[in-house]
Amino acid sequence: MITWNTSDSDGSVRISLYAGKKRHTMIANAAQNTGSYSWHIPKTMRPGNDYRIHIVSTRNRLQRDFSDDTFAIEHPAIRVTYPNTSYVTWNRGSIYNITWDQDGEPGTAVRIDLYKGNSRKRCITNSAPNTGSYSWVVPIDTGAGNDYKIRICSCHQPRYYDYSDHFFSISEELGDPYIAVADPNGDPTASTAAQCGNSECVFSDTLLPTEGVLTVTCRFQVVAGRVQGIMGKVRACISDVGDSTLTWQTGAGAPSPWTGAPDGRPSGANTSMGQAIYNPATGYFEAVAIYTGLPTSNDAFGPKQVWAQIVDGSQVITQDVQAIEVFYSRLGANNPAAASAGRNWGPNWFYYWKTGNVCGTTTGWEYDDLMGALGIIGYYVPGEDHVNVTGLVATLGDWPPFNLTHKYTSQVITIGGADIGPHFCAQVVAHENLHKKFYDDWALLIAAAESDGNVYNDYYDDADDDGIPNGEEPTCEGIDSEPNDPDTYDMEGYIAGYASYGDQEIRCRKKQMNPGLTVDDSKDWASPGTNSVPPFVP
Amino acid sequence: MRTPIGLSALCALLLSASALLYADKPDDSLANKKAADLYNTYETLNTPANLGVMFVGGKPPRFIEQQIRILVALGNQKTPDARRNTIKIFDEYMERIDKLGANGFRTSPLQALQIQMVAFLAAKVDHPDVRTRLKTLAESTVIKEYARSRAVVVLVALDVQALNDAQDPDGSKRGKILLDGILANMTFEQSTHAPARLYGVARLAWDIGKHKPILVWEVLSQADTLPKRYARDLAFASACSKVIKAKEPVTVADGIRLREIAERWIKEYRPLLAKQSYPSDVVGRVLRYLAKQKGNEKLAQLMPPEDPKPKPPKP
Repeated sequence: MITWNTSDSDGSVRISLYAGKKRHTMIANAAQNTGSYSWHIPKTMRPGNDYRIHIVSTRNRLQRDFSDDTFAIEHPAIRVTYPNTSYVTWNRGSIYNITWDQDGEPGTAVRIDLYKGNSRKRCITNSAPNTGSYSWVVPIDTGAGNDYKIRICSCHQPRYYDYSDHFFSISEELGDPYIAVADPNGDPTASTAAQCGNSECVFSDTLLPTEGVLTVTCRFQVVAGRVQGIMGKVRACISDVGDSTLTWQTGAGAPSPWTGAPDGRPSGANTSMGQAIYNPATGYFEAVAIYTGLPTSNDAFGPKQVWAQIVDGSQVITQDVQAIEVFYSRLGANNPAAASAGRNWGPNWFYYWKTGNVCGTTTGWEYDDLMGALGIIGYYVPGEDHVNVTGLVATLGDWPPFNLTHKYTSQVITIGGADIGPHFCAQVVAHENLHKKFYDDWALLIAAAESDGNVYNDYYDDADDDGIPNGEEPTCEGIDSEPNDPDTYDMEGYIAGYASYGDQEIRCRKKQMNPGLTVDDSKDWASPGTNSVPPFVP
Repeated sequence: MRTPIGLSALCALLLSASALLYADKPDDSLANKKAADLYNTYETLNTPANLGVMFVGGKPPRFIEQQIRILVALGNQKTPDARRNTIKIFDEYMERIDKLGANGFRTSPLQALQIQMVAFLAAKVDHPDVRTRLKTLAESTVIKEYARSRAVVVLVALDVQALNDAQDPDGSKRGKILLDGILANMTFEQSTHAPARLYGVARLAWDIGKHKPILVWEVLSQADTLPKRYARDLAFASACSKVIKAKEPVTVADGIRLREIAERWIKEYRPLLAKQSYPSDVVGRVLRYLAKQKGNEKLAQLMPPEDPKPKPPKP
């Protein structure tokens, strides 16, 4: 509001904006000389701090004055960008995206109002996140008109506000129906938890050993538009998760299967579909998918989809899709084999990593956590047909390689190192498998060779009892060791307990650096695990 | 560079023999058990079924791993009761393996405890009763050479410790104790199948010689037999290798001596080694390693091509 003192209210004044000493803009050529004038500063106005107002009477040019001092014009901290032209027409019952730009720090929340003419017609939202956009369904009871504007105002600093530059229209027409998945939300492949939203879903591990339950609460934003009787026409669909049993409930826990025609079921969706019920408390249509029983196959986990559909008869009017990812509890022990196998199948990570070939092998390794309690990660019992891993495989790892020094030459070799998760598991299996291979390949040959009482002179004698025959010590697994010293590289000096077979152990540790098992990271659906956000960290 | 090992450090090293843990996690559950309880737990594992398992070497059976953990826990206890149980376990161990005899022992899981027994006794070697047991082990005809060697080194290290620099300024007295005590009357062939003894000489001489190759050489100046000269040559070459590893220069004089050792290895040791089956030619190994290091080009020129690796016999 520009104001001035006047004694000639019948006349008119010319109001100009000066930038420095130059006239910049004519604000009004003949405004009523009432002492005040409302000026809407155009958004295109160049920001500056040397502006002044000049007012001159159109009747008597000697009656004139400048602002006593300069003032600044700044860009508004908030600028409405849609709707912002007179070409915009909205339909009642349709959803539109109100957008705005911002400068500076107008705060984290905005209030949005709908204006008709110069009057506020309704509050669209009292407080919306200041993200630059807000979806709004035009209520059906909104009157038609061509003089609507949007006003957006910072909740924190009311001086930051803006209107649409021009009026836009709201028509009598009812708009297209609209549906969007509000929950689950986010991108399950994103790298931060915030970006993932709640799109990563994990089977429970707290029920009976053979059970696991996955609950996916689906909330849909629905605009009926011209669709009549919307309440019975919102359908929820979700992907198969292997052989896990899918049922649907309302948010309150009542059964809520889809009883209408199955037509239009999305490809990949489970045959069981849900009826989404409107929840006045949230404003969303809701349906809860409940999978019971962890699936048998590791391949059942991973990327899935939730579909929200408006279905009229046998026709899908419109739909939306949301990506999700399904995980199992890493340390839970409720996998399908836990009870039926009649033996210790171990925790879920073991079951799925093994049966799902996540670690590059599906055979020859078993789970035993009794030794895990003693701090042992993996072991091999001579003569058995398999190696063993313990629960520590899933909780430890991420160790750097280390150096060992040849006792006689001081030559340094680098061995060991361990990654985490399935990679660590593969390294442990490969490590123990090499112990097993040494036993399988040579134990009987050594016994036969040494049966003559001399342990020094035959190729397969093992003078130092490290399990590697004399003749193999110079070349075995690319490491040269002494045939008469079981611990050539002083493994014992680095980690206690290996004095009697350090030369075998260093080869197994070296094997960890290149285990020869192809780990498929894309198959690890443990939570936390390779593909979860955040991923597993020891 | 690794810290030079003195007697106490050597004992500590031997003591540290521990459970066969893939991770370095101590077994706290054993630490607070009474010595008698540890003995009982250890002995409970000596069932006929366990002791009847065939074992020819390498990664031991699980019950042996458990026994090793118990030995470590008991070794850490310094009470008279712990010592009494240590002796009891050792005596019973020796009784068992003597009954087995050399042939039975070669396929027994008790083999896997040999080195651990040395470490077990070394932890309490300051007591005469334990020292006697260690001597028994060192002289056993059933215990394998690689374990006996370690026991001998522990015992000789005690004798070396009895002298200090003031009593033995140039280290030669201690050097003689080392050579005589560790290699005794061994033949050259025996010594090259006992690298732990040669290593013991080299490591202890490195300490006495204050980590200088020339002093190591002088400490062992009384090497008067072929195996003792071989041990001295190893000690010197190994000392040079340690110096290089510490990124320090090998002196011209040391370089000349290395080449002298190389010539001795080629003319004297190597023909003898060629007649042996699977010896540990540790001098040759150090020389070949040194010859590959920068600055040792003259040594490299002396070294003959490597012998072909052995091939397995045809079935």
